[in-house]
Amino acid sequence: MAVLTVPITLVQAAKQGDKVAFMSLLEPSLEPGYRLACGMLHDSQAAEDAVQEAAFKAWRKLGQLREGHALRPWFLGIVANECRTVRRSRWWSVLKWPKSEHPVETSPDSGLSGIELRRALRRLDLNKRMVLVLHWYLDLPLDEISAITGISVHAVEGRLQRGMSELRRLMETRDEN
Amino acid sequence: MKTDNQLRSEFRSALESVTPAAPWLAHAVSKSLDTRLSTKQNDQARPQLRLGLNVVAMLVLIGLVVAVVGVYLTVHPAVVPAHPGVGRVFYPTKMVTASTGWSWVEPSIERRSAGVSPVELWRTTDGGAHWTNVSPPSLPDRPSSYTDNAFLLDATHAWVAEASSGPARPHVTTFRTTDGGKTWHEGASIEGESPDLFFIDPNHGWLVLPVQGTTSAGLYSTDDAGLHWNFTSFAPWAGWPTGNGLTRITFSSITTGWISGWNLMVTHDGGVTWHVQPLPITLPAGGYVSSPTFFDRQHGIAYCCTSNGPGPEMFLVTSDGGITWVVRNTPAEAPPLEVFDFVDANHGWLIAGSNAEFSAVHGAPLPLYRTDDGGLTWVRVPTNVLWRSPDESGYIDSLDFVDEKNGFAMRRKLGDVANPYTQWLSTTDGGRTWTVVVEAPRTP
Repeated sequence: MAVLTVPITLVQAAKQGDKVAFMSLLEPSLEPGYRLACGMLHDSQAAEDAVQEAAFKAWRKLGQLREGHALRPWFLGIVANECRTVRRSRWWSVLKWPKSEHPVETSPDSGLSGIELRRALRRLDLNKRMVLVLHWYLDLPLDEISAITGISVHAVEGRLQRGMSELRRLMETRDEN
Repeated sequence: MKTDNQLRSEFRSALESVTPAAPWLAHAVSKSLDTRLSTKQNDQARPQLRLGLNVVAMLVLIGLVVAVVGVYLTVHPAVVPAHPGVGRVFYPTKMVTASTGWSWVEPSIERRSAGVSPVELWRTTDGGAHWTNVSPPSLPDRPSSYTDNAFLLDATHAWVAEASSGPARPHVTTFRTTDGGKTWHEGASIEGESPDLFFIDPNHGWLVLPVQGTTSAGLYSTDDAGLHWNFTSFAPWAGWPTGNGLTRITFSSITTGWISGWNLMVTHDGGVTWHVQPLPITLPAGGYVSSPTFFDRQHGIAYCCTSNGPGPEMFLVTSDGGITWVVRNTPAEAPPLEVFDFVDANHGWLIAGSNAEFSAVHGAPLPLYRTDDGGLTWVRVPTNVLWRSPDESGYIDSLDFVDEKNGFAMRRKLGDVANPYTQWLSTTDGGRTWTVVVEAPRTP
């Protein structure tokens, strides 16, 4: 995925309170944000909550986005933090948000596929899980992951390697059992 | 065992199956935003009681902030204004003396996306307070900053390998400086990409060009400082899915060298043949050995991770040129350990639990440890800084000592991706007292 630089005029309009401009800016990043949240939380309802909350926080924090900077890593960073919050206080999310009005379109056996891998993935700590999801699921380059997570590219590499190794070990342990 | 590609494919399909299509998402977000904003406006419409509570809360908050700032200012030194040269990411940096060092600087994402992408080499002669761009000429069609590589031998000798997609096949060209980057000499160009460089002295070096899609790499050597490169062998090169990985090459003499990764490979004939180096521990799947650092022909040290989580991490030490290695444990409270530096076979430092997981779990200042006996014993060093950023959490990106007294560290703020900053700190008393040399936001 290419990193798109935000057009300055839209940012300026959004910063002045233009919600349409804000949504125009945000829309290309919503789908990656949703995929990130699904990959982190394994729960589409919680993922939607996380993205909605992240969008609200992005609106409030838009003044922090510097002109000319890419919006996607900035927004994905907020989504990532939101996923941590959702995990920490899942009860809040459940109580706060009503059930989705939208039907979830899934195949009959969706959710069963890859259940062992997801189980292993959930046993990884959040930071490793996050870089794996960003790199392997969202196909983001290391430099963008570095911007999202706030750590160096070198550290992203190390975390990826550890995450992959740990995931492999967890799955192999299950296979042996 | 599954291959990396198989695991990656399985990973993707496992997450696809819990990611139902959400064509309504933009509408839902917009609607949610409207609801939240109108709720906020309604809240603002009944201000009386809330205003009173807010004033009390604000006064309490101001009192707290004044107290915290007061404590902070008494503990922390004054911050020197940032120099434009550090307004980007240091990665990696090598300080050669207390005053002179190099920084391999990534351009910002914005500059890369705008097509201004070459990675740059910067140099300081005043301990990092000021930096000068000393990059070699940039080849056209350089595909990405991560495809370049640099090797920084001492205060004046450095090499940069630039990868270029070129009009035909990708190739790598090396540049050499012997005067701290004032002038550069262009060496031969070789077909390949993702270079890794190592020089044992100003003339003898090796260039690795991984063969894409395989676990081997073309190994080239030079005895004229990189002006010409001679094919030596196809070396084992496990790589790593990103292609940027932990597999590295180092040499302890003109004939003896090492390739790190899932195991440790050794050559005793300058890279022509490679063998697995026996180690005192068994590396499980996922364990790895870092590239060893040699302080002379006999004494070297390598970092070793034998598990995948916060488990045993250790150093492997040799005092006979790598024939035998012994285990040196890290402090018991150390996991996970990521930042360390040794200046010789005896003196080293590490910051225990220097990553975010440790901060989040322990919520305490990260401890700095020092060894004076090659890792046999570790002593905690009391310091004047929290190894986390003052507000919440931070990341120690590097620890770089040049001798027993003088060292540097880089701290990066974690969390606020819109305005991350770097702090470059130095010590002149072995790590007890640290001073902020420069502090800068990460801006282009």
